Amino acid sequence: MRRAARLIRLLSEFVGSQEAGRSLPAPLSRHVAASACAASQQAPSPCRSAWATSGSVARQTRSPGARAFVTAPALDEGPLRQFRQALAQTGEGLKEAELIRWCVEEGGQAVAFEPLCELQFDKAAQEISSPYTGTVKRLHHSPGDVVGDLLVDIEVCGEDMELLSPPAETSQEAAAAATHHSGAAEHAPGTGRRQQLHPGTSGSIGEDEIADRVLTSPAVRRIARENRIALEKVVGSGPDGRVTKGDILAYLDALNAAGPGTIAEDLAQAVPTTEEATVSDMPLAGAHIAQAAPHRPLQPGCAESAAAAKAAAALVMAPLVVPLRGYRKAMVKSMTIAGQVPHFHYCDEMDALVELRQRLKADHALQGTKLTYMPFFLKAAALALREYPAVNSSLSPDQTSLLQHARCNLGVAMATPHGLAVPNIKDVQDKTVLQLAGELRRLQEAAAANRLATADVTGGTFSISNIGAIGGTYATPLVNPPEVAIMAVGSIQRLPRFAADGKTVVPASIINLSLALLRVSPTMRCRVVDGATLASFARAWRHYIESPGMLLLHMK
Amino acid sequence: MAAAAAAARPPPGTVVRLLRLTGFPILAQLQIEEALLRATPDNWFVINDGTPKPSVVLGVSGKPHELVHLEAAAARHVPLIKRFTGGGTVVVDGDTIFTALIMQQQSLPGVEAYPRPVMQYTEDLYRSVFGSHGAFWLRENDYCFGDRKFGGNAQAITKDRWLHHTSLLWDFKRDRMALLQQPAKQPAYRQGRHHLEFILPLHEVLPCRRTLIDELCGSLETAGFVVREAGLGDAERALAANTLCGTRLLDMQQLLDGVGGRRQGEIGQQATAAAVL
Repeated sequence: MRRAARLIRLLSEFVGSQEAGRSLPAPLSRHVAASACAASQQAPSPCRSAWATSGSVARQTRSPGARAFVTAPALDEGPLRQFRQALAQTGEGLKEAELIRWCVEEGGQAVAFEPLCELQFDKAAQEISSPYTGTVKRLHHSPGDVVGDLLVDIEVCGEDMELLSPPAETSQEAAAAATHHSGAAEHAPGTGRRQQLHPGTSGSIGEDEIADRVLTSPAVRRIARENRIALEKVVGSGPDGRVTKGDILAYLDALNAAGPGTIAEDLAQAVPTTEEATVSDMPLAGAHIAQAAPHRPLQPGCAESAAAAKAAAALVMAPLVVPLRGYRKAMVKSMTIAGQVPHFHYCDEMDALVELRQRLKADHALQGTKLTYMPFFLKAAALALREYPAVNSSLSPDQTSLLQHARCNLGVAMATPHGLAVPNIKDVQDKTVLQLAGELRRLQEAAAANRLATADVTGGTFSISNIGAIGGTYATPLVNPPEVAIMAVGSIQRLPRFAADGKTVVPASIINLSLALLRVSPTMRCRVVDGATLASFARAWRHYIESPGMLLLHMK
Repeated sequence: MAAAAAAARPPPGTVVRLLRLTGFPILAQLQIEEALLRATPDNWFVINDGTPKPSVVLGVSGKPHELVHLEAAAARHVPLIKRFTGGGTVVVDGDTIFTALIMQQQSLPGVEAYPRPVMQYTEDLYRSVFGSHGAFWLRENDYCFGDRKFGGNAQAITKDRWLHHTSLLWDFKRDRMALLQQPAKQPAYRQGRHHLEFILPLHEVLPCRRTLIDELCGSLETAGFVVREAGLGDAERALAANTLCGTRLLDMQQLLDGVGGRRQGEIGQQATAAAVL
């Protein structure tokens, strides 16, 4: 009875939020209970039934503002998930496409990462994969319809009921409230909410806690655990003071805004590979919304991490799509302070690299190709990007996903008689310094002759601007969208430095390094890559440049 | 080969099975392509030198009454075929050369399975064939010399595989091209030009048709694939195994009846409007 009342209340809240015109919150992480849900793949519809009748396909207008919940689910059924943003799978930044056919039927089973439907747009007919395994409750369109955001409702089996996160606006309000309440303390007090709990509440739904613990769901507890947040300090906005996912994400927002970098390192380590990555039996490179091989920052000296990363990279080279959810999505849309200015760093131990280049530049293997410092910079960047893959990312056109690339296609800004060009070298992670020197030469010659091919200037994942090549020492680089970050290196200067004894002045080769993040719009700043991660990347790059022997240790 | 094509090369030893056809009916060819895409795990390159019967081929969501002069097509006994890929409408005949590249995604890990990267890959692939004959490039979605189109672009992308095919105009009959209506959506570079001014017959640029076909087949080895010849028997097995067929011949009479019904409806609406006024 209590569970039924809770279900009805959740549905009412959801319908109320829909009626208020607020967008449906992003779906939660997919911890698919494959064992609990015996899903079988629907056989493709036969030709006659799948296609519209011959001749004209009636082009219907899109269904206005779909209302997902038309019937209340039975007590033992899992939560309904609405599949939105299917067009993101097309990779074209589309807002709408035409539905050609369904691969599933209402009442039938959808299987995660198996075909759900086929859409047609422009020149391509493309299968769209289901993000969930479960029962298809409602198909919101018919073949021939122009589809946009909402596609289908799927009832997922055996999942946590707590999925109604408040919309973004409410999350920001909660964040403001949390910030207001925190004062000088690091965390916002939450004692007022706990007093709302009824001592006799059994919390028998799912794994809800009883009276003297926070009323929330396992998903929220996991987030709290991963981010080392005491749940009792989070103000709950749900019924009976329940802490919703939106509450904890807004709390993380508030913490992040209050102290950049304090939680960023932890969050960077907990990047949603666990939240969004597929289960282990996923088909390789099957869907465009998740990958089978999670990316994790490499810990230097960790053999297991290195082996796992190598195996993952060998299996799948397609980018990892990291949907921007909760706090990260709020990061995209919120004004922040720390990411507004480029990050400046410097390397002051360049002597080893200077000496190394001096010894190598006359090697016959170069066959006349000039060996500059840039191949070393590129190789160091590729290794550092392997440790901090979030920096090697692109923002999706609709700004809802971060495409975290496994390949390092590094752009090199070149000033040519025809203007600035930023061609990129593909797969720097797999190239030797010698090969990079040769490829740089090819691109420079092509750029000078205005003969860069389309593939040379597309597909870049991170760029390096060498202001030093034209004599500059400092630079404030502009990010090359849709990449999220850029690095600029100045010229190497010979400057006096104090030796280790603090008294002796010695000459040292110094190079200035600056990094910048993608700016989404004139009024907003994007911090999908937080400053701490960028700073860590810069440190890693510097580490390889100052100790070029480390390149040998870590190069594949 | 264009340097850019080297940027997206298959792993060493990746096989592409080559199916060469000559004068093969386009309806059957498209059904075979769809079967090879959906029912086999292999990479394929299908090339067909002409189709015996002139036909109009529409994309998967093409509206015949909007794209084709149906009565003229019916009068000339030109069948309409709806294919399983997106893209526009083409008139094909014995002077059309068809190519289809079917690829397992893992065979080209450097090519993301989205329309634009796939198109760019084929641009690089075909540059080895066309690049030496003029200003060849992929302009929006079309293969062009300069600003004149000689081949289009159509794709189907499934979970693990993608197909890209095109019809290259070696030559064409102007009166057959007149069967096509001006599409509502046109590429910007067309700049409103009439269809006949917009397209280019390849025989005006390339010296030999036979050489073109051989070079198209050879482009695969240049791109780093191991090419193995296949036969129609392999294609037939794929056809038997395929359960989903989006390629079909349209019923012309039904199309004409639909046109008639629409006209009656329009006349009725006009009469009603006149009565109201």
